[in-house]
Amino acid sequence: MLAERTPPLPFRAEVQAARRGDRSAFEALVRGVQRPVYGLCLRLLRTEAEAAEVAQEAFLRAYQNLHRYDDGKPFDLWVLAIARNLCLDLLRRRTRMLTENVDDLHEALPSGEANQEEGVIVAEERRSLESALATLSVEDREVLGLYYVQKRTTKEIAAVMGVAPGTIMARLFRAREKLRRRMTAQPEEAA
Amino acid sequence: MDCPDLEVLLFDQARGSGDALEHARTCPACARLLEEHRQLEKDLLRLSDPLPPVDLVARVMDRVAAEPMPVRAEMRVGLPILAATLMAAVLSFVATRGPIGLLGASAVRALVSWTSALSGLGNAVHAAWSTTAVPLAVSLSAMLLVALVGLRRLAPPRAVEIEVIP
Repeated sequence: MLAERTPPLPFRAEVQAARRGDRSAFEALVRGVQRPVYGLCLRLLRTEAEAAEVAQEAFLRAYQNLHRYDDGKPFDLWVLAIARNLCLDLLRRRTRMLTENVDDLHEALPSGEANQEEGVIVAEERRSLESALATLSVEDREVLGLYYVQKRTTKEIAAVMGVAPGTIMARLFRAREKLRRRMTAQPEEAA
Repeated sequence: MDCPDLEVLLFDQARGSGDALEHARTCPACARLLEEHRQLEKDLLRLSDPLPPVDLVARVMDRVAAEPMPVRAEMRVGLPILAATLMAAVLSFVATRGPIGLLGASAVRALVSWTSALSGLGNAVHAAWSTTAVPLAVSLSAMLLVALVGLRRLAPPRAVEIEVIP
């Protein structure tokens, strides 16, 4: 892994304007980070309606707590951490096991736009990968989603999950190995 | 040689070198495992987040519109300080006129005694400076430098490091 310096944090001007009461600046912030926030919620909760509801709630909490946000940290990671905590709260509150059909997830997860972007990987392979991902635990889905889908660094993932950065690679490897086993087991199970 | 732990093997794969990776060059089972992980990583990296509902921003902003304006941090800190200062001013005014005037007198006496103490301290510093100016200057400079280095370390970084996924 290589490391390099990035320019000043994005969204700083918008955050400052939003703190002064500029709601259009806050709207720009929501537009800027809505996709990763919603994506994480959907990956954790696995239902579109709940993911949209929790993403909204996360943005509202962010607005109410803008004065507590530390300017020295990336804004998107802050909102992602809020959304993650809300998702975990909701998952804890669920009294019944999720009996969702994996086929529903096929429609819920990557969009048509993603299909066009992919180009190489065929839709069937992607669906099988998403199906295998959906069978993993919340923690495994989270770390794989943040690292591979959102292309976050281990430091960023650690900031969102509130754990030491040194633990992320090990979590990632374990989750990937579970996924590999699910993927290789699928054809045998089908046979 | 026994096959290494999976985590060690994958760490070496991510790093691009290591004993475990060397082992995998001659071990078909480990080589196959690494190849499957490499392929899986490639497929995972092609996934992307779904698009959020088209009305998500509008729904968030509707809820935001129903909220009161967020209070700025400066106001949260500044208002109590202002209130405390005003309270102190009122108290001192009352103290000079009312039966609690003793309080004001005590405060003034304390101030006068502190002024005398400060004056004595000034004289001591002057005497020390006139006898050991160079050692004092060197020590003070060193202390200042250490303090500045400490402050620099305390300051939050303005940039984040990113890792490039291979």
